[in-house]
Amino acid sequence: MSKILLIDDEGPVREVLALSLRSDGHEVLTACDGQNGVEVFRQERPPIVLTDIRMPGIDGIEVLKKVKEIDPEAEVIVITGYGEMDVAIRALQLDASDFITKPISDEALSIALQRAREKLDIRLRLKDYTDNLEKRVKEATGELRTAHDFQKRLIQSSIDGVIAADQDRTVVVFNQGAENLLGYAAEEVIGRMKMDAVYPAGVAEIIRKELEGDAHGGRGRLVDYENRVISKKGEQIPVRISGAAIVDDGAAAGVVFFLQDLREIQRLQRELIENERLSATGQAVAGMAHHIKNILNGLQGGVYIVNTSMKKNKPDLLPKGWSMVESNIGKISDLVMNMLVYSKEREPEYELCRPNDIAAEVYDLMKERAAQSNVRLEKAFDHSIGECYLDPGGIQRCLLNLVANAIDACIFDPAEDKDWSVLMRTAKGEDGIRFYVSDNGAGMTEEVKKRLFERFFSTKGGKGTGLGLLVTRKTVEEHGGEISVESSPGRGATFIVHLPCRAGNAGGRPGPAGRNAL
Amino acid sequence: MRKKILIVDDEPDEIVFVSTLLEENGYATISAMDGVDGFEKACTERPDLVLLDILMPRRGGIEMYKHLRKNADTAGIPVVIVTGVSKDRYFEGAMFGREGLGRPNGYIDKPVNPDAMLKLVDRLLS
Repeated sequence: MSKILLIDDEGPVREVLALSLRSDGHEVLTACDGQNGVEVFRQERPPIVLTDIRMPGIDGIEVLKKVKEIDPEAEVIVITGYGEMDVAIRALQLDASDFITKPISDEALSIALQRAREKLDIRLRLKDYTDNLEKRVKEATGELRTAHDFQKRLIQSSIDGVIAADQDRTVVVFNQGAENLLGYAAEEVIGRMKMDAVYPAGVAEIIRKELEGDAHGGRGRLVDYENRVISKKGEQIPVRISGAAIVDDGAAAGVVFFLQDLREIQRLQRELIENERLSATGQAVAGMAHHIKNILNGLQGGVYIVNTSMKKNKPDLLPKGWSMVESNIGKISDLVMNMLVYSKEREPEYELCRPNDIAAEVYDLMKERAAQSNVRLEKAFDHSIGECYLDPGGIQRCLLNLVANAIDACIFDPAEDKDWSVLMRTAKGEDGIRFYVSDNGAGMTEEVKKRLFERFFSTKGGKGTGLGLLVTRKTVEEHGGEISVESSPGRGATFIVHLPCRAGNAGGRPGPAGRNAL
Repeated sequence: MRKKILIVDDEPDEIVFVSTLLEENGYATISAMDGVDGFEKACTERPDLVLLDILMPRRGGIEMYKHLRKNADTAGIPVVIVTGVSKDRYFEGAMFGREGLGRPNGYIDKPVNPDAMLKLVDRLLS
């Protein structure tokens, strides 16, 4: 309950009232006149004052004034005589909380006290609330400021250029990243320059369209879109642009763009490609060197035998040594031919020839070599194929490569005691002729099949350069044809060369659309 | 009786060269082009020495070496490894040391130096 100061000059009234208030649980201070009352109030600061109006010396109205001076929050209830409405009104004008009339009824007193207490409570809560409100506003402002500062720093310190513009496309945000990228200082841009000035002519319109369109992240957004910006010095810089239209309460408010400098990324990409190229070249050179070294070994062996034959006068050794020299010279010339064919663009040297004859020559050239390696070379030619325009030298090289590969596939087959064979087949079709070279050797995994036509890819270590199939495909494609392969591990492989020439009787020069057609 | 040497190499030129070299210097030679054929010939022909290439298709030199050493009939035949592959100690241990089959009797680098090969062969067969 409350602390109440009771001021009344009439002793019995004061005592009865005090008793009644105390019995209601209030702490009651008493004063016998106005002067004393004000003194007690000053010292004790009770929240509620109950004062009689008619008192000698300082009357109730004066007490009210003085109390309110000391503490405007104090609740002062005045006690008036019956019918003294004018005094009551005066008291209320002076901010008394309430008035009660004599004779004082318990009910009227307790209602007045309750009201006073409620007012006090409300005021207290209000005070609390306002005090806290200030504190909270301060806190919230602080948080906002922190968040704002953080966002500002975030934008400022972003490595990407951040540029925002308002609805008139005037730049309003231009961070450090944008300064670095474009060479402008923020001060010369913010509020002074139009957004469009950072793009080369025409690009701003394109970007506006892209932003409004559905592509690149949807309407009103631009995600990882690549274009160019133009620096203060006029340099065009490749950038990856992400952006968004800013909408405020449903209305368009501007745009913001994040610009990522792609120069470094593009430089690294170029470097990567160059490194890959160098490493491919390095591998090719290493493979080639190994291959040439093998050929040199053969040449040295042949020369040694020739020398021995001469030194010891043993003519029977001479053919053996000499054929070694010859075969290795053949290998070098094959290698050089393949390198030449691979390294430059050339038109096939078309002449009228018989595809079956080319295949037969290859058969004769490779039969011996196959037999040496326990491989049976077989042929099955379609004799309905007549003459057609081809580059016989080029096609012969293709077939030699394919047959040599097929024999190697048998040699490298890990299976023991297999009956190895390579079949050369020709066939005439509506759309041209086909050469088939099939073996029943090692076969290829999907991985090997995929890499088959890669530059310098070889499964044969120093015995291969990785050039053969590359050159074969190149020659076939120069003829407007195509090469394909069917194979699985352990089951051999079939290479199919399709050349779009009509087989038949010769007649005139080939036209430009089908120079190899009749 | 001329000593018989088995040359196992997948390169026909190498066989022609080495066999000529050895035959010109008083040895008889036979040859095989892979480890399967090589082991068969070692069993049937009982050579006095085997010259063995490492990298060959089908059964390679290391496989064939193990077969030779594990087979009672061929375990005593000296073997010389003839290869272009590096032959430092680590390599030797890794290839031959693990199964307690003993080391090969010699190494010859490719390309073959005729004098060095003859010296080693003469020593092993004397």
